[in-house]
Amino acid sequence: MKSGSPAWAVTAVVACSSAAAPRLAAQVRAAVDLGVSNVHYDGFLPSTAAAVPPSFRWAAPRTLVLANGSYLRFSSGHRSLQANMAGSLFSAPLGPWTAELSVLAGASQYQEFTGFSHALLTARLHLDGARIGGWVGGTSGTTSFVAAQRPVGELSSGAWARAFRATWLVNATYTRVGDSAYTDVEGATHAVQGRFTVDGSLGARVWSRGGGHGVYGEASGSYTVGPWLALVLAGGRYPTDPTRGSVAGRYFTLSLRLTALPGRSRAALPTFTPPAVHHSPPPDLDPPAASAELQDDRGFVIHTDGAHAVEIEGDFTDWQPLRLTEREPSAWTLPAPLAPGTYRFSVRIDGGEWFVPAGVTKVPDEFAAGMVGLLTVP
Amino acid sequence: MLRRVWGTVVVALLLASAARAQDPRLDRRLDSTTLAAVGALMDSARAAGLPVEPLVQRALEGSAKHADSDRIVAAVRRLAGELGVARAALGRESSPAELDAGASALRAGVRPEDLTLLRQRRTQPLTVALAALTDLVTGGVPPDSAAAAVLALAPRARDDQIAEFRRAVERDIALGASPAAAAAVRVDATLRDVGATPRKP
Repeated sequence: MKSGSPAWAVTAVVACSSAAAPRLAAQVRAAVDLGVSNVHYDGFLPSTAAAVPPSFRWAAPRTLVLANGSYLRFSSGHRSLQANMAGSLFSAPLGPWTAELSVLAGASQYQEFTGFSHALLTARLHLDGARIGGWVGGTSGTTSFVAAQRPVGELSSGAWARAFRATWLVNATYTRVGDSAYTDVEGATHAVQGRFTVDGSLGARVWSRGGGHGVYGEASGSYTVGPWLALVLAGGRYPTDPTRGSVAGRYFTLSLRLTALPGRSRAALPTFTPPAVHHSPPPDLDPPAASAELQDDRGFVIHTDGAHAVEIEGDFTDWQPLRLTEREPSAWTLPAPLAPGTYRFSVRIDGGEWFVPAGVTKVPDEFAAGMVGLLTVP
Repeated sequence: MLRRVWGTVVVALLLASAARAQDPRLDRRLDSTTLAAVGALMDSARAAGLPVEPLVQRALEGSAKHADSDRIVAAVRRLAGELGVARAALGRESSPAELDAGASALRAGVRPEDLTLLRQRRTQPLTVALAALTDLVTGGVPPDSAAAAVLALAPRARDDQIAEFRRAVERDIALGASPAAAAAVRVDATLRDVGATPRKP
């Protein structure tokens, strides 16, 4: 393997995801990224690549299944194929605690080299809070390179918090793969402001025996041009992953993201953030149809994807329909904060039926069949 | 007979005029008969020292949903009664927000005695606690269990802790826990947070 000058890569990414739960309608989301990447793997020849990674997501109140893959075609003519699958089971909450059991499996193959494969079993214990939480966990499994298998063991712990309109993560992981061992400490953040979405991570392999060392970090930013289109800029450096057989590298990517809007479901659909090896936010309820949020400053927000118009009527509008403003993608807000009090209300999307979004108390409607929302502003 | 009819018309017109004078929002949205009846209820509520804005909003809601006059008047009358019961249970010094929240709790099935106990046990404003109580009951927690849970938290928990307790129970129920069990588990967890000794509901 030789190092060489960086080369430009064209990447095309297709992601399809679907989420379904028993008794509830399914939801499908698809996205295609078309981009140009500059990739430089440590000790490898860089090249141009086109990637097509479909992904699948199935979610139920205590179950989550993810599958994704990618096909990379480099300008050198070499190709890389990857496939990963993860399934998680969550226990019923006991106080603030929730247990998670996950199975992860994957395989990858690069043209000139035989492939890697891995199978892992992970157990985590989550401590949930409204805005802060944490987890501890362990992983056991195996990784294979050709016929040679090596045991994998991992201990991890982390914490997350939601503050300043962003999510913040820190975690520490000790990994042992065969005779190699290393410890990584990482921090990450995710924030959305208007049409901009920013993700960043910074980590360090603070100790290593055969697993490489150094500092790594990645950042990405996207600008939502419209419901179907976003510009994405990403770059950084990632470390060697002996479990999955990937070598450290650095990259820079500029891409267009084309998104197929999800089908709306009137039912509240609990979903979970996907589990990751090194950090895993706790299970959270996320009703994609529409959810209501009362913010700390008494601002009121309706979250829903793919809507062109969101209206609200209630005690604070004298029961006249009021069109909300989409101040951030998928976040529709009232023009002014609410005064303290108790309010009945309903919302509708794109002129459809009035309904009560998830996240608020529902009480019987005295004037029509159905329910009306009840919001208390302290 | 004609004099009686004219007398009725005059009274209705006077009542309608009075209601119109009370709130122009109703004038634009209700017919004269409904306006007169709602206006009378508002007068009674005002005389009793009850907040009238909830009554106005209930009438406007009925109008927006094209309910007939009888239904609108019945809803306003029922709310006025619930506000009165809430005031009797929570005390005359209760704020309009507390009365409104108390009326919602009563409507959901909470007993007036539990509202009184809540007032006795909590020195902070009761709006959030009453909202949590309503939310628990409408979410399926039996009223007595819901009341016991909120009363257990009432002495020491802050409003944000009570709100978090409510969200946690809602999440547990959505994840499959029985409502009563979810409330019982979460109240123990919340009491540990506030430093109180857990007490069984």
